[in-house]
Amino acid sequence: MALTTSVPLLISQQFDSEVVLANYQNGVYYNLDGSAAQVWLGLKANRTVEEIGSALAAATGGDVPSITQQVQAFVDGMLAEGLIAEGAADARAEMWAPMLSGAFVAPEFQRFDNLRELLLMDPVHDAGEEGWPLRETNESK
Amino acid sequence: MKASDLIRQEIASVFARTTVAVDAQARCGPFGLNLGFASRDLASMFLPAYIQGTPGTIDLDLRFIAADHHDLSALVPEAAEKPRLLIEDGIYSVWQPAVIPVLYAVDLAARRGIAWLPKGEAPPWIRSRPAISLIHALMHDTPWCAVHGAAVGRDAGFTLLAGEGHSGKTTAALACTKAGWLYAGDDFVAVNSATGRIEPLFCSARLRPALVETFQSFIGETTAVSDFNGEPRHELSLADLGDRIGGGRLRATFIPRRRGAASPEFTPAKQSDAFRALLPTTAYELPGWPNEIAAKVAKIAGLAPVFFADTGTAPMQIPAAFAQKLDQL
Repeated sequence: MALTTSVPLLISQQFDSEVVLANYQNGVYYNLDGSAAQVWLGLKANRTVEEIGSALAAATGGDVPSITQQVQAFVDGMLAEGLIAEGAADARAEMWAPMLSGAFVAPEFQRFDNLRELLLMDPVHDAGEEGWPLRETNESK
Repeated sequence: MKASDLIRQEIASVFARTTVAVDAQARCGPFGLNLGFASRDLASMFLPAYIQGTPGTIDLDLRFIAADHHDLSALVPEAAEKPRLLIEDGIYSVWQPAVIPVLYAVDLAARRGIAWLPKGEAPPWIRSRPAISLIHALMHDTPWCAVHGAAVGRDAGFTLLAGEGHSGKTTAALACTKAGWLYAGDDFVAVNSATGRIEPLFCSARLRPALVETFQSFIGETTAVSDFNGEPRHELSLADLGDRIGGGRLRATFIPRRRGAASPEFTPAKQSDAFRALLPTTAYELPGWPNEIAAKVAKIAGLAPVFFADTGTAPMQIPAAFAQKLDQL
């Protein structure tokens, strides 16, 4: 199963070792720090769960099977939350290594959904596929 | 006919056929505007928010019209209850049907824009920042970004106040302005994401009734009070500040919040905190180019030190606290 971090209307920004994700469809923001950010960045670099688990274990001196299992659980959680998607994988980065030190801490994301009331304004973020459908009287002009 | 061709044609038609009852010039962020209002009512609705003056160049010629002046119903897209955005062949157009409908469109090559109000009126928050989506369109392909935040400044530089509604941005900005600082805005300001230059977009401010006593000096005899969805606001025009409406260099980003401190207190924050404070309303209010907006806001969040600012319970203690913090940086 190929995974991609390119999800429509999901904006991502990396700040040093931290990743902020903003879902423009439901107004929810997410903060990924520590191992969580490294898992997301690993997926963005088109690494498999096993590759990410091994790299994180090497960086932290942890147990590969245990860490890989935790990475898989986190990836499943991100999939359920819509932070990643199944589809054409991102381009494989030649170089990728997790920026992590110290003991491994299970990845988790912080969720900020106090901004959802903005959705009541029914905003439009980008030009949609439907474009600007003119009414029939104009189509014949 | 393509939608962009029809919109371009109608913009030209508005400029050719609509009589301008009130003409004015204004600066809005880095841009000079020529404003034409089809009626005195429309001018009184929107002009108080603009920083009037004679800009060196005119970057946008903008007409405000209602259905009585020009029928643009042909431009209203199908399924008119849905908001729409079109970015096509040099045309940027937004249909905002919510609450009171407004149509904005700009021909970016001709530098001509229109704000059409089918019902002849606009919600108060649109009156306080008229046609900001068209300013956003002009900023595309430039380092400038209209961001949701207040900004005030003095010799030591400007602070950008980032945070969601009710976080205390207006209180802090007006307190500093009352203390003699330069005022760049209480809601949206223009920030150059490459240089950190801040410029005011509008000279409006929206004041909650609880703050009227503290900021009585900003309330004039003709200040309107809006009441939308049970949220009354004094709709201020700070045009009388004159030269004290201005911009400068970003020195720090403060994220106001109320955590119970009696006097203003600062806590170091991260670039990502500033990003999360600035982006949501910025992105929701400015249609189009969401990735570019996020990239610019991320840069702005990294231009200066970031602090959470618990602004305390006495608004007029804020200026001294902000000044001390800016001087320390």
